[in-house]
Amino acid sequence: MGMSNLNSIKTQLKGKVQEVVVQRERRLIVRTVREHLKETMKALIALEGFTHLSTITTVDFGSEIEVIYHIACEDMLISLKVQVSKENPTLTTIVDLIPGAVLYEREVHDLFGVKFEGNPDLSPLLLPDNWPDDVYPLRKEWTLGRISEKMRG
Amino acid sequence: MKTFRIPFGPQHPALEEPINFIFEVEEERVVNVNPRLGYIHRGIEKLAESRTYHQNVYLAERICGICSFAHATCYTQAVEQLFAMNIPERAKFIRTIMAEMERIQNHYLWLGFTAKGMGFETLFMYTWRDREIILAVLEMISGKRVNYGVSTIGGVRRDITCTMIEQIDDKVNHLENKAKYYKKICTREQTILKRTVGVGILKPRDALNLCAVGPTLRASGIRRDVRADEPYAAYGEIPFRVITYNGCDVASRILVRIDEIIESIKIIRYCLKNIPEGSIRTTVPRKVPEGEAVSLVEAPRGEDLHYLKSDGSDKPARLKVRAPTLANLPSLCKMLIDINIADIPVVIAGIDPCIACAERVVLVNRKSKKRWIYSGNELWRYAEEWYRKK
Amino acid sequence: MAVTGPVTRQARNRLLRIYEQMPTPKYVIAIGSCAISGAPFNGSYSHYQGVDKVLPVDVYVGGCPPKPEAIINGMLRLIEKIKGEW
Repeated sequence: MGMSNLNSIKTQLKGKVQEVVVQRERRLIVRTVREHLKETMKALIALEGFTHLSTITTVDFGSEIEVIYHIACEDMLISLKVQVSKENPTLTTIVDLIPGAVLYEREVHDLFGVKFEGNPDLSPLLLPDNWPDDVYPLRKEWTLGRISEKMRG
Repeated sequence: MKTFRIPFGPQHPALEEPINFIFEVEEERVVNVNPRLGYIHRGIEKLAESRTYHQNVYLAERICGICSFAHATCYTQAVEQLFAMNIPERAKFIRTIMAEMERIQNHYLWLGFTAKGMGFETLFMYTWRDREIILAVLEMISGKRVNYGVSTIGGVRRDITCTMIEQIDDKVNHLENKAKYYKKICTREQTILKRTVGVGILKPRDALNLCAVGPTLRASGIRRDVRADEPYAAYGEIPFRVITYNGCDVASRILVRIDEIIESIKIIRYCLKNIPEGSIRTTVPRKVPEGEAVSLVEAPRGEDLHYLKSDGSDKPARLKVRAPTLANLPSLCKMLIDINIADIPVVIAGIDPCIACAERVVLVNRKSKKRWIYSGNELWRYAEEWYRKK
Repeated sequence: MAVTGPVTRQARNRLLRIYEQMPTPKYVIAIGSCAISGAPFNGSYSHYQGVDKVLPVDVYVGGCPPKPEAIINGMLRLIEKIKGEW
């Protein structure tokens, strides 16, 4: 990716993000905090060419959950990372900026329990109708053994 | 005006995800749609964390029967990124050939399936007969018709011999002629045009905002294809066209896919002619270096993404898969608004879902609570009748 | 009834409902490794390890996926069973 492109990204995101790292060719990692998520997202969208949200990934780090927004354009893929605590896993929704995020947020809510404030519909997407409320299968503490015990009980 | 709520789905055993849609309709028009997935949710991402990287190649192939090579390639590419390694050149060409053959068989399957949805049984029979030819070629190379077991971490497991090359050449020439013939049918046959032109409109701005991918996006005029934007395997060395059409309707989606079949055949020919000699695989250690990787591949249905995080052990810390159909669902819901009930099967088929069209449609009159049920066949017949009277 | 693929928790009740709606005599054919035992998704939280955990199965057709010839063979075995030949 061009240096000029990278520099303009860094300038645009200054003050909103903690770091901007070139991971490898065509891969950029941007780390920000929960409070600046929406501003950072707006800044990235305003930069020419960033219009496609590929997906929202989530990783369990024990006491924290990292939410990664994969935003693509023709030149590169940016992984925008935000961490939230497991005690209070809430983030503001981005469906008003990127309407296509609607199902990805629902999926993350289903499997990890992250709440997206402002999303009008966080009903179950993947898990069955009779799934217990507090079981988030992709969190590390919910091992396969523990889940089958809970379902049996 | 009275609105009806129609649950649509969920069963269809043969494809990846049976889906349930709840439609709200007024008279003959759809006014609202709500999707519900989960009928074939297998918990693959969780399972992947308790298996080794090599075992997960087997799992990744079985995410979807029709795009199995795309998923396997996407996954193995992610692992190769973590190793920061390059696979042998010959392996890249073999991966490209297999990927394009998978694209051809997928598009033929889809064309037949969409034709059936329009009541065009003959075209369905013809295209599925032609698809058998490409499946026989895939079986010759890999031993299987789907879930080939060819892509592996570090390259490929099966080679393409000179005898195979001659046979493949012969078969793809035949398929190219067939594809051109079907293109003529789809652009001139009135029954198809009536059901597809101007139906299921997705404007370019909506396609971008709703993050559509693949032929669905390219039929709205947006030139986006992972093979061109972020070349993987051997795509960087092969000249090919990214097919787009501006119609934004089901007819354009048909034409994009038929043209992609023809383009795939050209790519295969180029690869067969220029495939370099050499090894097909590099062995890799069991334990994968710590790190994370995002791999993108253009599956037949669109952009496929695999995110992989490694903690340095022999099992992944996290595997995330985003298959193309999930990306196209919001666009599908947009396309379904303000169409006739009779157009529902064709529009759903138009995005080439890894879920079939509905098996059953239940119509409910919200006020009187009266229910009717249409089976999939009855809905298709209803649609044909509706169009005949129009 | 031919069941192809794993039986997920979400699909289970619908599967049972379809089975109950079938007129007798009823037969179930499980097609593919997922339908037989849930493999390769064994251990997953979201589905049952085989159709026979939910319904009685008459014929099993193995394969991942089974070839068309195997499925036809399975159907022929089912016809033999219906005729009482085994």
